[in-house]
Amino acid sequence: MTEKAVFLANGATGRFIKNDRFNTTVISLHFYLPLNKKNLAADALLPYVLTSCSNEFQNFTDLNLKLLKLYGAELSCSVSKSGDFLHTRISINAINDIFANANESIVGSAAELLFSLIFNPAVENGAFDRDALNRERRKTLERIESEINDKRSYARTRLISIMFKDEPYGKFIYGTKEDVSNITGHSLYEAWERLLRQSVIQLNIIGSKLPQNVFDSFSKQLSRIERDRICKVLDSNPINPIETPQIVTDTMNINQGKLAIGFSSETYGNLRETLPLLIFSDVFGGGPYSKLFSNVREKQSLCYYCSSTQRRSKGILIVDSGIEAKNYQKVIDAVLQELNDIKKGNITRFSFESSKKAVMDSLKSYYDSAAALDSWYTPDLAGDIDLTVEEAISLINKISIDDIVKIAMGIRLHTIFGLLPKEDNN
Amino acid sequence: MKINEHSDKRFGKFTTAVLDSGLTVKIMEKPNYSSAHVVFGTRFGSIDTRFSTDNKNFIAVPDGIAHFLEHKLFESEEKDAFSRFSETGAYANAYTSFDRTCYLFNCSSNFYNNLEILLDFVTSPYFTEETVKKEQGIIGQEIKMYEDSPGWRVLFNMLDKMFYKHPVKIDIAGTVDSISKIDAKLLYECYNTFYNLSNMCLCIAGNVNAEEILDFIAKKIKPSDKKTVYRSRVIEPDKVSSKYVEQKLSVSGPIFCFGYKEIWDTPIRTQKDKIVADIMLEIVCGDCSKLYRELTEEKLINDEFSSEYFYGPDYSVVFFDGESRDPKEVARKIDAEIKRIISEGIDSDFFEAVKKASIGEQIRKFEHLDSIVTDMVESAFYGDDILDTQNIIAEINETDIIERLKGLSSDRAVLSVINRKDD
Repeated sequence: MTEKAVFLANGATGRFIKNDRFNTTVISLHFYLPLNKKNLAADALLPYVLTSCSNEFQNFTDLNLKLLKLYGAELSCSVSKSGDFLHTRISINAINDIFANANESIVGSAAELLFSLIFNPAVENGAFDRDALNRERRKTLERIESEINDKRSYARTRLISIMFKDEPYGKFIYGTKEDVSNITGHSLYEAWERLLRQSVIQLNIIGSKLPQNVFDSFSKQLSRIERDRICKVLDSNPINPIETPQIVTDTMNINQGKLAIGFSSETYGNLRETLPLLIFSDVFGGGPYSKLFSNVREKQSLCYYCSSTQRRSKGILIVDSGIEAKNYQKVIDAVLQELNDIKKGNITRFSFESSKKAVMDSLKSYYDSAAALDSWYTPDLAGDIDLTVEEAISLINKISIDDIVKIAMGIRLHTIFGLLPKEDNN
Repeated sequence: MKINEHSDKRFGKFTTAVLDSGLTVKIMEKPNYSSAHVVFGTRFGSIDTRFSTDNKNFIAVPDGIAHFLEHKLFESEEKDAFSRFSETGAYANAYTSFDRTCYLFNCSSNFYNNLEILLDFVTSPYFTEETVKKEQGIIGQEIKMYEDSPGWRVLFNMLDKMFYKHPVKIDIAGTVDSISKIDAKLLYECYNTFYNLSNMCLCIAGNVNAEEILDFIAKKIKPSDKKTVYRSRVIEPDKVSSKYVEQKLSVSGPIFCFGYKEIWDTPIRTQKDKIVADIMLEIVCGDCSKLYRELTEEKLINDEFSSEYFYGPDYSVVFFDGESRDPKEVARKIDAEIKRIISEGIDSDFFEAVKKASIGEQIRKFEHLDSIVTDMVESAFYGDDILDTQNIIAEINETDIIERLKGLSSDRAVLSVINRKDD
């Protein structure tokens, strides 16, 4: 595998990740804009509209027929928070030309289709097509409402909103229902202009062959846009530790309670700088060798899952678990006990070495997944995009138990969110 | 040992062997990959609750026992399997579905160490009354978790009304009550029946060498007495017990699952039956179908809408699920659209495009090691020819689709809905 970056335009980079093991090629566009409460709803709705129709394909039926004819090319988009930035991804994935009938250029056509959706959307007189807006708006409103359907992810989202109640990071990714309802064809057009004029852009191509002229074609179309106010990718603001942890409890008509515990960490930033936090989180509540799995689940049988994840961009750690209401305090105590244990240096060499091995082994398999490579090679905060998988592995190899204890010392309880069954439910 | 080899530009070298021990082994070599994915599977799933080894004396076991056994197999007298995999860095896991239990690992290094651990722990059961008790607590929590999952409940409520006696209607993990009846003796009984090598397969894809692997396995695996597992066929009546079922949970709005029970003479579906179902579903409600457009424009569905062909021994269901403000209207429209296609036929440009996408899907599959292995397991248990799919697709015509649609009878359709439980 080789990987090469190309300058495309002001604030836009192309990256060809040559990997001949795949039968398909991924063409993936990444846009980064600062998270902004006022713009969030429109910014987050935009990719859904862009991938449902365009000036050329006025309705999604025609667009989807075009995709079928490209051997079922997969068009997808997502929005997520990358620290204090909104990360919008719009990708297409098509089978390599060698599997198609002779003279069919599938990958090249897929790339051109993707670009035309972005640069030539269903817009008239400075406003997006009303039908498209209404359709995608309705779906987003339903997405916001159905957030409560998956109780585990809902508990985590609620925890984040409590921990970051005064920051855009605390907002639900699609914005509020009110903000979504207020989006107009014109405000969506402004979001589109923001996306092309102000965001940091990266075009990743992962496959065996770079489609002809693909970077040129993108640059040419981008050069028609005035890229005059490109946002700067800066460090995100890490969380502030608090003196007295917050405890919030909601009740719902459910059988199993959910617990989400948020911690602040003194470690944050780009991947290179936060690898010890990654290993700490894994030793604490990652694989089956971890403290939480082996003690809270296996030894004490308190839950089916109890695991920890970190969000390095904001310097936080989240532990979540599905619990019986009567064990609420017991699980919290058990989790805090395990954390204190690490602070005291009580980490077995077995769980420490296992964790490093597991993380390194899974990193090595990144080359086998186009999606994993796509996310690896997206702009990182404070721009350490050039960290290769091999380098990360060798850095992890050097991490010691002391490094993990040091990380643990900086971990402080911030917020506990419990979603518990109503009394009459049990 | 019988060995078959094949090569193709989509996937490279593919080897199938049946070892003297009775074990079926399938290996796809992907020399330019970094990792390998391995499944050791047995044809023992949640539906196998009544079986025999002599075809005379059938025994019944508690619901959820296959899944329970899966959890317990990770333990041993000395070091449990998770700890052993922890030393190699592999990602290990297991899952139980309706018709199988699969133990898997994924690794980029120490392949043979991992393979040895896998072969060893799956073939070395160790259960005591005490460890069984402990597991009842953990699985009890898992069951409770699923009770709150609307997507899971809506499916099982539908199956419950659709099937009279087929155990597919029972939750894979069983119930808190049924698992309380499981003890070490029952676990050994199931183990000794289903975990015999002629009922199992080992499937591997990745950066591996088939010849070496076959040698290695032949040395490691102890031959066992060949045992035949007899499962009595479950012949379902040509009807459903209720056409509508509803439950209330904490959800934002209605969630539905609408399905048709198909009736076949034979218990097992062919590769063609499965592909025809997929193509049929794309034509009925795929995202460039007439129905999908109407349902979207009338605000009846959103991106959660999907369809699936759900099948296994003696059960075959075509279903549609999603979120909707009016599930009954969605079901009515699906039913009407099926009848319309039967009477008006399929647009041939659209049909060809769907077939092209289906070919693309088959090519796409062969780049994901886990999906290759899943297909190999299916093929080991049911005899599918995973290499031949492109030819099968090429031969499918519009009549195949229309005939299949005719089997989707409104009389055998069930609509299951989860409604909002008011606080």
